[in-house]
Amino acid sequence: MASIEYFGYALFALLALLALAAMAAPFHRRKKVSFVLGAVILAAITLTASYLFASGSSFYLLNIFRIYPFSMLFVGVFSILLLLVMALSYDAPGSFDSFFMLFGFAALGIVMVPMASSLIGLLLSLELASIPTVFMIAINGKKFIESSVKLLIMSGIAISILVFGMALAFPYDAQLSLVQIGSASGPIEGSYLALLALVLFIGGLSIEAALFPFNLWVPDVYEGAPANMSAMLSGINKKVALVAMMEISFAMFAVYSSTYVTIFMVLSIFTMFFGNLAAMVQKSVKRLLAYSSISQAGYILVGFAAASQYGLEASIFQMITHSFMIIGAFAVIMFLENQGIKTIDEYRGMSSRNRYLSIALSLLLLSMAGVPPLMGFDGKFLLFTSAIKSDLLALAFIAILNSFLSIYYYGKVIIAMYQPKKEERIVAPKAIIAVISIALFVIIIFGMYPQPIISIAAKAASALLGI
Amino acid sequence: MLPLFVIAPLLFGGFISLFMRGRSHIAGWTAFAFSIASLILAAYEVLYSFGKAYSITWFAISGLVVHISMSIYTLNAILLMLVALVTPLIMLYSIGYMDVPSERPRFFFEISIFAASMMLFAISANFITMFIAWELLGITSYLLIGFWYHKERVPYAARKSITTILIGDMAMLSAMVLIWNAFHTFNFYSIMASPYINAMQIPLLLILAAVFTKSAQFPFHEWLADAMEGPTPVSAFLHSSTMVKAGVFLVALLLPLFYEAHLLYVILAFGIATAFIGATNAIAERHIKRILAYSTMEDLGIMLVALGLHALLAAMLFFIVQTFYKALLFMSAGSIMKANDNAENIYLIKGSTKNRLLFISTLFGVGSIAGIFPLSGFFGKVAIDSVASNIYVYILLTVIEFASSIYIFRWLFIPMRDPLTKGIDAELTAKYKNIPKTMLYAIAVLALLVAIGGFAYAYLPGLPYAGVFANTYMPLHISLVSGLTETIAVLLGISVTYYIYVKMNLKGMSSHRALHTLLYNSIAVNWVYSIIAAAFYEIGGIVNSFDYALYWFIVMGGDGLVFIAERLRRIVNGQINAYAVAFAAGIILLVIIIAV
Repeated sequence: MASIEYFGYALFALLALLALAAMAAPFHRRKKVSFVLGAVILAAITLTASYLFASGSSFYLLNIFRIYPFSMLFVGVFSILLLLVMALSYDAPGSFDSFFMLFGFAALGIVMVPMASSLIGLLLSLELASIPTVFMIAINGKKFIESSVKLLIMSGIAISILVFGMALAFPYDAQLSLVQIGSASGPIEGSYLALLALVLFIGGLSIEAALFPFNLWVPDVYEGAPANMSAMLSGINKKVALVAMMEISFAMFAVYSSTYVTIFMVLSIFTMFFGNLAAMVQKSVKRLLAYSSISQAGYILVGFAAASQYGLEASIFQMITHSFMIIGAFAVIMFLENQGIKTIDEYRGMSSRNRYLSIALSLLLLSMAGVPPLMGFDGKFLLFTSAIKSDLLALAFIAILNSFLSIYYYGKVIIAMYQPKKEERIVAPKAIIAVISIALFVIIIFGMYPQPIISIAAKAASALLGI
Repeated sequence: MLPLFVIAPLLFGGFISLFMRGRSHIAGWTAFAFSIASLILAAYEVLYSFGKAYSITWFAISGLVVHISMSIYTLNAILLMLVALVTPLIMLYSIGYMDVPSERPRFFFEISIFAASMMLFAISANFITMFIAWELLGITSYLLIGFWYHKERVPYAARKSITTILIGDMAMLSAMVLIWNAFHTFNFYSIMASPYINAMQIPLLLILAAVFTKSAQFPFHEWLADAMEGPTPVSAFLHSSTMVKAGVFLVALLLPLFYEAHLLYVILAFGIATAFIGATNAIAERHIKRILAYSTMEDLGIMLVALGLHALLAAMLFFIVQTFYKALLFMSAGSIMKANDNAENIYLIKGSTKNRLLFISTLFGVGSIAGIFPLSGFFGKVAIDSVASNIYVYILLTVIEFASSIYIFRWLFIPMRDPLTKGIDAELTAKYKNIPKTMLYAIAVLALLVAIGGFAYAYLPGLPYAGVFANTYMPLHISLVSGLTETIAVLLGISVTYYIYVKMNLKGMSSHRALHTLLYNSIAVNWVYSIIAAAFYEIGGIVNSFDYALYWFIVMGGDGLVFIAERLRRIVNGQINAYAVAFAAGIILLVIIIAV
């Protein structure tokens, strides 16, 4: 056994520790202990994953985990993002102990999705990620029940469809492993059953990934859930579904790429237009961000549609970018929501209330709109270039048109914040400031110097495509 | 060590001093300390990384790789050391100069960023890095020139400078696009090493246009004199080592390309025209700082003349010595103005001899700019005279030297007059005594540098020069004939000035005289500018009407989109069963896509 595999087992042990810490939380009921334990374990996971990523090794662990650069990148990124969400939730209303128990299991699921080596593992991890999320929304009070039930029903539909898809894929590969099914059991070109399975997978995952028309629940749930959970749903859970979609389409069904490229293209166009157009007429900033996050999923799909090394590289880059942007933005929203500031009208004169928050939110929104030198610009630039390289000129044009449309509603919020109106000052808690500052730091520094992120994204993309 | 780290202390210090609103009295010292750190790093870099080039990937997109490239070759090292040396002196001077506490943090922030961008410019080895620094210089110089933005003429001066510079920026950007198309690389040294292609003439001319705007050469020279509205330390910095030097430096760096494209005569012609315009305007000007600004124009013109003669070493020698004496003279002017309640007209300024340290240092600067042996300016000027093989160029250069000795001694002699009444005289003496020590120390250090700057003459030829045509550069030498001619011209200039302004004690020339109009042609140039601006304004009006039509189109489109959005919004009606139906429809849609 190579020594690098020990790190794989260490990762495994850390995941087990996380689960243990989560289970212990409701018993000892010490907020601080849970938080520190969670933070240390997540940080350790990040470090281990980055070491494994840097080593570039690729192997199976106990036949259920696949350790390779693609999975390790997302394990690392998701752990950092989970850390941010945990910091946000620390001071949120509601019991942190029960939150932490659910959070630990959700984190376990989230981290395991990119590592799963078979469809079964993938499905179980997805479930593990989504079911605790439902309850994490619900534990905060009665007014959150509606959105958590909506999420539960939609996840239920998603999982049933995914299982159906799995059943259809079974004849092609009894192991249900995530390697290319074409190579596993002879040529399957033209087999409609496999294609149907693919469609069901994409449809099922589209629910969590918020692609039109599977995403109508998104605005209700994001708006109805507490803002830290909205941050988690759009910053992490959505990316988890996109990662699963990437693995299934580009690793398992790679031989059908010419077919599903069209699906991704259509979904991308629909999602971008739906998100951007509906966001234009929103009054609540949180709902506006929900629609904006829908449209961002559409941009990410542009890279899927390009279906090349560059395209996936760009998609991965934009997934990381968007996670940081949206978690930072929801951190601002969360604080303001607790102050009773919700609609764009109420945002007027924000700059006189708290200068740092309004600068931060403006920068985050500008980054989402794709203004240089922020990271959102680099992501979009990569995506559109990759689309043009793959001869999808029309798609690139539509995506650029959509970025143009998005300026309208992002600008509306920024303008409102800087309208001269004297309001009394408000002071944000340190945890929220810290999360916002980290998000800002990332989008500014890697916006100006994107090469480190581009190269890790490229490494992950080529690992996924097996190049 | 990556040369990029040289600018890190300056950037850091700049941001720290920006947030020192409460402790503005130490903001200056903070910036000074960090600029010393930058100087140490720069010295380390020049000593230990000399002759090395560095490159890091900025971003790689779909096969397009863009680098941030830096090099510490001879030219880079010279400029880097000049900027690193002058920056702490400027900071030191500014500590005494900036007597408005509330504005100090902003001032030291802006000047730190300005210095940092010039250092980045100095070490850049490709067009991308150079252009970033170039733009940063433009924007920070705009902020600094417009520093006293609440004063009446200041915003206009700042706007004039940024307008002129932006013309150059556009030219530079177009040149970069053309160069990329031709070579598929932005690296200076790769471009110079690859075989020359004829299409290079156009981008090189565009680069020259950009250089002329940055270095204030004819016909883009007028902004420089107006830039005197900025604080004096800024002028001292802008005219000595930063900003205006950027243009000349770029020509020096790319000289092999200009040589191959046969464009040297263009550089020569514009350089000599600007030098002439600068010298004549300086004779007629009365504003103490504007005289020096026109003198800078002349200096830069002469540097371009030297480059146009393909004498890189002579140009670089003058480049070095000019930095010290021009910084010194601006600082002296600032100190004298401070003692005279910020009077700007040299006829209103009195008693410049009252502070001995200041006066002696000023004498060093004046002697150097006129070119008196053995001060550094002498070497710089005579080295250029000595390579002027063309007799007309030689005569013009001598005439310009004669003119420059006239204007600079006029600049020296007139403020030397003492006030007529005793009471004012005593008051003025006290004011001269009260000039802050930090200002005087900076001036004294520069005077020392001016005195010994001539030693660069001995060192320059021994350094290695990158570029393919290094061996065809004209050698650096000083001929006895040129030295004598120059000295005679300068002495003649001094005696004429002494006779007119000290012996005859002449009052200012009437501005209606024909001679004055001929000398002071700045007004005419500004008139031409205004005509061009008016023409563009007319064009702008036409474009504006088109724009307005487009605007209506966009408004209509926007209304339509909002109408659609309102309908679209209603799909999300909060009913979970509707969402499930949408889901089913979506699956059917995907199946249809797959099937067809």
